[in-house]
This record gives sequence, structure tokens and C-alpha cells, in this order.
Amino acid sequence: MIHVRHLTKHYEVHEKQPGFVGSLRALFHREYKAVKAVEDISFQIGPGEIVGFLGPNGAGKTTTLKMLSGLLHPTSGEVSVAGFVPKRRQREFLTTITLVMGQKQQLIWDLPAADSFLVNQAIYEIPDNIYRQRVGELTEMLGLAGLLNKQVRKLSLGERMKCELAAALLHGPKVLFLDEPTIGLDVNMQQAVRDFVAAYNQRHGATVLLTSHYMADVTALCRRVMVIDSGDLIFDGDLSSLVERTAPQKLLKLEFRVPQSAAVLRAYGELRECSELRAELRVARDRVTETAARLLNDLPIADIGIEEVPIEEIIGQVFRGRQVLREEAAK
Amino acid sequence: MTALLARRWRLARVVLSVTFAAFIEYRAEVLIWMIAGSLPLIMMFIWMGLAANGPVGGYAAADFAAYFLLVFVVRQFTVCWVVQPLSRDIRLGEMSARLMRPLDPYWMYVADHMVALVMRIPIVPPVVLLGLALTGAFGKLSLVALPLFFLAMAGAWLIRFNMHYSLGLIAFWTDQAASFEGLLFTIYMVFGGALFPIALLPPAAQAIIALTPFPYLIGFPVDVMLGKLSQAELLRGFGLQLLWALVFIGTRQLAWRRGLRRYGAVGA
Repeated sequence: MIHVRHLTKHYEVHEKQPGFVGSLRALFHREYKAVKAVEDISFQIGPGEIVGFLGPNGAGKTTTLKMLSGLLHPTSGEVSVAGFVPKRRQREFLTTITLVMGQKQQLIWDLPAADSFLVNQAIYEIPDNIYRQRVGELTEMLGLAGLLNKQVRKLSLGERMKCELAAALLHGPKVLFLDEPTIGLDVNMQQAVRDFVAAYNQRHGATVLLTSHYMADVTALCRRVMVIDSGDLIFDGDLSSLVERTAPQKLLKLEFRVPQSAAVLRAYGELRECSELRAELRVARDRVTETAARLLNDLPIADIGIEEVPIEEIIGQVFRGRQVLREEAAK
Repeated sequence: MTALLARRWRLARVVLSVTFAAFIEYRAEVLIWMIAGSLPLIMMFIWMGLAANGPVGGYAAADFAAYFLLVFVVRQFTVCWVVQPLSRDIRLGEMSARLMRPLDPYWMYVADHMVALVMRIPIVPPVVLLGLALTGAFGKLSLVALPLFFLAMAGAWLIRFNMHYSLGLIAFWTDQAASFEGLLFTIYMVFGGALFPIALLPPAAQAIIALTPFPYLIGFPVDVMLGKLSQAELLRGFGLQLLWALVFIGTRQLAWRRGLRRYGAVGA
């Protein structure tokens, strides 16, 4: 469904010193700097797959998504989505895909979402019966009843996001590009969006490529993940193997009633952080419950929490691991 | 073919009615913009005052009244503010959502402007008719020229909108697009004939101005309605309108294609 080969995107940005003098200087002499947003990445995604695109801010996720949806022209490399070259932006291509950006909106701000839907119906030339059926289906799946006739500006962020999703899917796209679809949403609303994406994929067999900062989005939806860092694709494969391989441990967050010394804590696991009343321990996955029980027993614990290692750290580890591999290869 | 036309008609109807609904939210703003566009009426009073003791360059007071009332009409029905929203949408990446839909974003901006014209219909004609009655300038108009006047305004709109759209597209390359607009506006007002009839200038100046697109944006439609032009002048005027329209439509399309290649370097 999606084929990407040696895809590269370099930007030229001009740099300006802050302040008036900087502006004046930039007026006569502009300094350009090339930014490598995406560097020679290749992958394929089959029909019906849900793939998570992970990476820290500025890693090149959004840039890649925008090249796949035809918004940006690649500097070099080949992209094909559903048999089309995205940058040509043919009508058939645009009706096959959709792009949802958590931080951008297409709904008309001062009107009810239903009006924006009508505009999309006309632009995508959706016949009335199919339109009614899809609005009905999306209303049911996303719980939109009562929202569509309210002014968009009066909706909550979560309600608006659900309407955005519906507007982006009215034309029944086969490929969904979702860029941070849950950003800024509360936990319940994140869950609702996730459930919807999973259900939509099940029902329509749509191919989904999604980026997110939230590990939960990815773990809930994607079996396969791609990790990108500084424009390089550094991991492409099974999510569970990524987590187990790079984060075989879990995080124990502790608060004490009485200050504890680092020496005592080291006996329970790998000590990451330690101030007098707080500490963070890394413990192997299979020994987490047992260790927690021992800690509760042995020490004056005020609070305890068990968490997954943050996704940024996993990515960081993958990245560092790759550097190690490279250095070894160099030897 | 008819099916295609039916779909296009439906698209236009839906987009215009939804745009209209959005505009209703800003109706006060439209009124304020119209008042801001009343400069031609002020110019009318100035020139009528100057012509009170006898014609100026062949224009009597009633001629000036008719001229500037028509300038007001043309300005109101060729109103164009596309540079600001277009360059903002490009710079801030708001264009992305519009680009994802299989319709050239151009048409969404056109729809905005069309709705603005429709909203002026109940206001502009009464104001102008009242003005003509009060100044006794009604007889200066050539009513048989009304269809040609509409055609000339359509031509003026097409040139002006595509000129401004091309200017707005500069936002793909620099964030200074809006600053050119002020310069363009000044030239447009002077060369267009919004401050004084171009016919008052020396022939040499007139000849130079005739080489630019500006007289075809205001002065030409006004002169059509005043019945001042010979058949040859009409033919030449409409021909040049068509030429300039094609020039700016071509410029717009070229800039659009080039600009899209650069899109994103500026914060999409």
C-alpha cells in the first residue's frame, strides 16, 4: 500500500539573530542553513496494517507523513501510496487518503461541524445515500450525537477532535495518516480516539500510519512500530520485541516517610534517581511485583508506583544501541 | 457533461451557502469595511467643490459626482483582501488542511469574495441611487451600457483578484508578502483613477498609465457606464482586460505550482 525508498527531505532555513540589529542584518545578508529533516529512509506498509511512527520532537515524523500525503515535495527518493505519487496530488489520490493533524484543523471555526461536513460532501462528490450512511456510522462510532449542530468554537478540545476525525473520514479513505491525533486530550478522550481508530481499521481494512508521543496510543493500536531519530529510521519491527529488547525493566517510583540512603536502595534494583524522600528504581519485568512487595515490607513507604519506561527513553536507548553497533562495526 | 455541471453547480451552491453562513457571523465587520471604502465619496465632494465655479478639464460638478459614485460602485464590487488570509494560511501552515482536499484552495478564497459581493447588493445600489438623485448626475449615466458595465466589472474583478492572489503566494518564499500590498494599493488608487479621472492628466502620462493594468480596474468600467467610449475604445478596453486577466491567471498558476514545491520550508 505504501512504498518508500531512500526518502530524503532537506530544508533551507534562514537564520536570524534576535532583535532589531539582527533583523536589519538579515535584510541584507541572509544566512541559510540546511536542515536534514529526513535522511534516506525506506519502508513498506501493507494494506490494513496499523503502524506507529515514534520519535522525539523534530525527529522527522511529521515531515515524513507530509511527504506521504503530498503536502511536501521530497528532496530525493521515491514515494508511492496506493499506487500514486503523492506530490502530484491527483484527485484520485486525495480521495484515497486522509491526513489528520492534532494541531491543525479543517473545520470552519464559527459554524457547526455539520456545515463543514456538507462542504466536504460536495468537494469529494459523495452521493447523498452514502453520505448519510457514513455520517450515521461515524456518529455512532465516535459518539457525535448532539455535537454536529453546535458551533465548532463552542466544542471542547476532545469533542472537536472527534468531529475533525469524522470530517477527515467522510470520503471513506483507504489510507489514514494520523499526526498526533490524541495530543492535548484527556485520558478518556485519548482512549476513545484509540478505540475508534482500531474499530475503523477493523471495519474498513484501512491502512493506518500514526505518530504519537503517547506510548499508550502505540501499544494499544500498533503491532509494528518505526522509530525515527534525527531523520534516520533506526528501528522497524515488532512493538513487543522493541520494548522487551530495549526496556526489559520497569520503573518503580517511590516516596518515603523518612529519608533513605542510596546504599540501602541499591539492594533492590538499579537506582536511577534518589533525593531524600523520593527515588526511582529500575527492576526487571518479571521481578517487579516481588520487589515492590519487599520494599513495602522493609521500608517506610509513603507511595509507590509502577510504570513503563517512557517511550523517549526507549527510543534513546535504541538510538544509543545503534551507535554502539556502528562503533563495533567500525572496529 | 450535464452530470459534471450538476456536480459543479452543487459544489458552488454548498460552498457559497456555507461561506455565507460564516460571513453572517461577521456582518458588523462587513459594514465597517464598506465605510472604510468610502474614500471615493470623499473625493467626489472635493472635486465637486473644485468644479463649483466652472468645469475642471471638461468635468462639471455633476460629471464628477457621476464619476466618483461609479468609482464607489466598482471599488465595492471588486473588493479584494485575499493577500492577508492567503499569506497567513501559507505561513502558518493552515493551507495544509485545504491542500488535502481535491479542490484547488483558490476556489475557497473566491467563494469568500463572492459572498462579500452578494452582501453588498442590498446596500450599494440604494446609496448610489440616492447620491445620483441628490447631485443631479443621473442623466450622466448611459443606461444602455449597463450590461457592458457589469462585464467590465467582472473583468476588473478577475484581474484584481488574480493579481492579489499572486502577490499573496509570495508567502511561499518570504514572509514580507503583505508589505507589498500597501504599495500596490497606492498605485492602484492613483493609476486606477480612484482619486481623480485619469483623463485629467497630460496625454503623455495617460499613455504610460494605459500600459499598466490599473486603469482597467476602475477607470475603464466607470467610463463604460458613463458612455464616454467609442466602439473602438470599448473593443480595445475589453481586449486589454482579457489580456491582463490571462497574464495574472497565468502568473497565479505558475506561482502556485512553484510555491507548492517549497511549501513546508515555512512551517507547514
